Amino acid sequence: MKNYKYLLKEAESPDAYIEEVGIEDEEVITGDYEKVFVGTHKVRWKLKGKGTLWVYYLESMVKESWEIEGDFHIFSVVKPENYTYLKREVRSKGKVRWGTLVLGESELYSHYSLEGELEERGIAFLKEETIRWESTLLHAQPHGKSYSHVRALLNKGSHAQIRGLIDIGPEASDTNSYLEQHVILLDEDSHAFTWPALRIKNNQVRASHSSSISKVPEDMIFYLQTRGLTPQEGISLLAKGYLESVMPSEKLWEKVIGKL
Amino acid sequence: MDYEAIWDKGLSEEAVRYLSKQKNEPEWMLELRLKAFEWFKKLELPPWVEGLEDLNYDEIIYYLKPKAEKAQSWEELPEDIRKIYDQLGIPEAEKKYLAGVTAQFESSVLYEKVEQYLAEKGVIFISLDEAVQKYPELVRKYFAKLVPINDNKFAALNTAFWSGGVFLYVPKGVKVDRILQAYFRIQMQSLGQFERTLIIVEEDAEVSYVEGCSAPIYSKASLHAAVVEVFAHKRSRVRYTTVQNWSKNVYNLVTKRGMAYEGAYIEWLDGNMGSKVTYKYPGIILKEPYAKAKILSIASASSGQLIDSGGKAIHLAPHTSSTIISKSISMGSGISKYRGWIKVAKGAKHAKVSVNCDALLLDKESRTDTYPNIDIHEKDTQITHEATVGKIEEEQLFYLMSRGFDEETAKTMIVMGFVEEFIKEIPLEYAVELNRLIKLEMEGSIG
Repeated sequence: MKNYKYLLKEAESPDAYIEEVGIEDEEVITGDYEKVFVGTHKVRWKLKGKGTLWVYYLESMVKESWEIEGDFHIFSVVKPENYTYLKREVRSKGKVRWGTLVLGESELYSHYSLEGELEERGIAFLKEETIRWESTLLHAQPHGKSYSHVRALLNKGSHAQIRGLIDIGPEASDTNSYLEQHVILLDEDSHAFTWPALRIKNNQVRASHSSSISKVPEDMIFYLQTRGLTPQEGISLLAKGYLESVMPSEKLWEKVIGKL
Repeated sequence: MDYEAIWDKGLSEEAVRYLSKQKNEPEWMLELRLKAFEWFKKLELPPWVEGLEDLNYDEIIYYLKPKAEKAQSWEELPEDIRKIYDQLGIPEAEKKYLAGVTAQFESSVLYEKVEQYLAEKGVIFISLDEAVQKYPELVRKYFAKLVPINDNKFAALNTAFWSGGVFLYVPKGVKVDRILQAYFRIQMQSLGQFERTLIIVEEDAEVSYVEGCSAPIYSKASLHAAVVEVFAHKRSRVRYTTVQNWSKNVYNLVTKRGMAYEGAYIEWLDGNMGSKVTYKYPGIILKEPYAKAKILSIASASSGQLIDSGGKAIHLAPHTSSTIISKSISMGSGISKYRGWIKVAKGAKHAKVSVNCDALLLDKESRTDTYPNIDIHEKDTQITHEATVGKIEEEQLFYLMSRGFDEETAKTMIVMGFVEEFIKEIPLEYAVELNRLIKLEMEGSIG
């Protein structure tokens, strides 16, 4: 099992460290785009128009602020050697679909202020690793729509702490939001903590959440076995299914593999 | 015990000693109280607590002299409380008792019958003060073993100053087939500010206990910090029902916990209607295999109220299961919160947990929060958690109105449907009163 050093020592917050670096990049994007982060960065993104973004976070500490107007599909891939720290501050007026794939020890903090629509899907595959994932979806304006679905598959003594919060302000009527967290524990030593929270100050809303932590469903394994698959193959199939929900097409999936 | 003797020098060690001496308690209880008082001074409130800024610890001293804080006459009572008593149709004598106008509620005939019945069964059902004198070993064995004196600031405060409350002991194999109500027992200051309840149910025994009262209880004292401990030994069944409706100036900060041994089943029904601020999470520790727990709670927060409730289930052994169902209604500027804690320890294989919390917001100003904590260290578990927040559906309302109900009646019907799951579980007379209460609360808040 890897260390907890970043999770436990608040005093040595990577945040303060990044703050010293200052703003390095300011990117204005109007179409498709791709970027790879290694090392410490502080970035300001401005998105206008329509497009697809691929952002890779290898061994890095990144603090981002996003301003989004328009229709974007964003894929974030977090693949550290040891550890990655990512903090996103997002203001969106547009329609955003955001898929995040995590393959390694990391801390992710996302704060979304929403006026439009957001669909966040996250998936983490961990092996002897620790993840801390926090998303806050803030609706301060009316007519917003948000959906956040975070899943994790934990193996070999991995630890996941997943916190989500839907925060709906007194002015945000006619919003619809949903928060989902599902964790599958593959072995005895893995551990998960989930916190799906709602904070609602308005009654013209629909808000709900669901959360589950379990091992691989036995009935699924059984079903696949009757179809001639081993439990191992069953689990890979499940993992692939998860991945497809984040990165919808086989082609994109290949792209990720190729890149890594 | 007569606390007319006045202590007004504030919260101090001296006050603890004085109280203990008044009660003629054994040395160990005094020591425990003193230790707890030290903890009370040391402990801090958790960072997420809000709404307690106005809480004044000096007012606590009121409670050492209970006679002085009761309303002196019927006319002195606040208007809204009088109105509710009238509308609930509570008998005159009982009304006066609840309001604190008279010291005793004359129910001696009824009470004698209960007494006789219990004596036949060998059940001990007395005030805890009395139990300390009569059954010191039994009390010492269990007292503060489940809620340690330093569990939280208010549990420490309660341990230091507890007075009144119920002691219930059900011997091995005894099935108490009638519902025991603390109601019959309120002659003995059990409605105190720091009441303490201790329930011990031996192997294979069964009991259902109801405390509280759905009629609003008027109290000038502003803080109510109770502690409840329930021990359910092997294969026993315990059902604990609370209906709380403190007047809207009361801070209700309660620690409630149950321990379920092998095959035991604890059911906790918790209705929170009144008070200014409530923080209350019945917790059940499933200590041995095949223990089961169920927590069913409703909260209704109207203007000016903050009700932070929920449930906790700690699974420590294999094949344990727990169900938490929480329903909350917020109206006016009321705030209701669900806060829960589910823990499955390593080795607690095949644990089953299901949590369901639904919130209903009746108008624009009302607010609701949901904070579930789910902490799982064992892979062979089944955990599901679901929550929904919503308002009264236009469609349902439209349907009912098209059937000839006016808007207010229709809304009330929908709300009653929402809490039905709770209402149908509690004793009939409470259910009837609770139904009326919810309707009353909704009058004036809908518009």
